[in-house]
Amino acid sequence: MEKKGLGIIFHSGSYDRIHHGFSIALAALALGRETKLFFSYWALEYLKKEGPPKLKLDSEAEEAKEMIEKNRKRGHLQGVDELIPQAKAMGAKFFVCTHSMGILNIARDEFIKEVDKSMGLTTFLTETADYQVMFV
Amino acid sequence: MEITRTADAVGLFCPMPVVRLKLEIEKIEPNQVIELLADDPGVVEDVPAWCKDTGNQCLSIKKNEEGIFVAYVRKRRG
Repeated sequence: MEKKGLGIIFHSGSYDRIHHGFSIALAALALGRETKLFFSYWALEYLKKEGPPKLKLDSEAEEAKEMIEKNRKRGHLQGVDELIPQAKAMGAKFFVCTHSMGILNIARDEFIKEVDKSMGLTTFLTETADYQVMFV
Repeated sequence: MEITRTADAVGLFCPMPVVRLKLEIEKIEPNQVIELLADDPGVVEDVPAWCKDTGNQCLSIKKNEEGIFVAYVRKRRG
């Protein structure tokens, strides 16, 4: 049976959402599923060359970030900065949303090398037409 | 049973034990057996589910006296 690919639309900039979205991506990659990640709005901040985003997080996201950081120090999990290259190495495709780049005034060359392509929503939906797609 | 390789995922949270298993099993030959060590209780169901989905064979998964889950997986043929 042909395996269903997985598409993830990252929208939120909350650290825990980004982190868990990458966990879902890695689980899919481990299963050998094609995985395409589309970054829009605040999630784009995590793909900028200039480093970790200085987003204002709400209290829930702030608490989650602290817990993730604590567990990272204990060696239980990796940070988003490590999950990005790992997902890439396992074959994930990284796309950035042209609409969000316009709104947030981000140019294509401000992104890290893992980003494959900037594209519109229509292209992403055609690229993932028979995929399972989720919005994070 | 001959164990060809061990994937140590002790201390790693889900889904890393399965990710580790996937990456390490690529380094052995078909029909050889890999041992996975993990303490995230998710592996009890995740490893058989991963094996079923990827065509590998989960020979056993048990908790040892130190509370570590030990799984043996035979790599699929071809």
